[in-house]
Amino acid sequence: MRRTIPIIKLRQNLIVSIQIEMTDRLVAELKENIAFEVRAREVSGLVIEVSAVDFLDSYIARSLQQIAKIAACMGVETILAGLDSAVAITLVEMGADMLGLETALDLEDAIDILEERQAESRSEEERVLAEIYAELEES
Amino acid sequence: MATFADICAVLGRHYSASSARTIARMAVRRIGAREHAVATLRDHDALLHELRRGMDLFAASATARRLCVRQLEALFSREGDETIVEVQEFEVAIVDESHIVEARTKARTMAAEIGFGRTQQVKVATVVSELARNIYHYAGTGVVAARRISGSRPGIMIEARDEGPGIADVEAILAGAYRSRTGLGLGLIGCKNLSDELTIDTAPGDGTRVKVKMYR
Repeated sequence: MRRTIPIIKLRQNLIVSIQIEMTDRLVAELKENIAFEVRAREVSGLVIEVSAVDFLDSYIARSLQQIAKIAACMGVETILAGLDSAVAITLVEMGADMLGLETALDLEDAIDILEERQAESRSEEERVLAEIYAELEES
Repeated sequence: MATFADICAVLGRHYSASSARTIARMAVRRIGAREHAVATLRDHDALLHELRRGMDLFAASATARRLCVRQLEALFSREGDETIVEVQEFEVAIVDESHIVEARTKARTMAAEIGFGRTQQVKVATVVSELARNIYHYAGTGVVAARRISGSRPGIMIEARDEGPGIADVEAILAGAYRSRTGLGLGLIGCKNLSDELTIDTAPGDGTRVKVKMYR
């Protein structure tokens, strides 16, 4: 069986939970699949959940950063959730930190952060709409 | 045994060659020893203390200083009794991408067997992965092998060899002055930062041999 990484939609967000050994091919595939899904499913957030990942080298770390940048190009913000402590120590010591990538302790935190922001932007949208209506009614 | 040149070499990873020599020279003088007799020193605590004082005087980040002290301690603590076991624990020919995974998985298993902690196992696997990846991306094919280091401070010696194009300016890469799009610079610097000792033997057209030592 060919192993792939499933991409799941939950309300406004995509969740990618990496549970298998990351080969370079898999990383490249994931990059394309996420880009496609982000576009196709009209989400506003992406969580990459890595608590089961017990190894990340500089190439894979950079690929994850690229995925976040690609998503950002399409107006989707990315949170990396559940980074393992040994992996985090190794990344920082080698100098390949996750700079520019937002992180959360776990999946739940990440979803909370994203949904809170989405609720804020929705209420902001409603406020602007209400203002426009009010102005229209006046004129 | 740690010679004056060894001490300079360790300092030289974090300081310029001339600063490294000055720090080493001052420290040796302050404990009343002689440069050529450093290898016969029994007690390294005083020397290390003076080296640290010197290191504080010269510019380097706190992280670099800490790392440097650790590497000096490693240098002194394996005083004499270190032997690299002849028999290879594993050897992986890097031909396609799947061999990168194979090499790092074997490295991790080996690190666990030697008694490395979990974080250190990840570090060993990461170093092997970076080295294997460099071979795959830049040389096409090569070999990654590992042997045990036995002695008072057990460890792993990893060797990566290829017959690829070689590296023109290793010094610049290790100093962080050069960073390729594909990340060769970061990979090698990363290996250097994660290991206790890293030596590269390379020249354009002459392949690359990287030796890395990591102690428990």
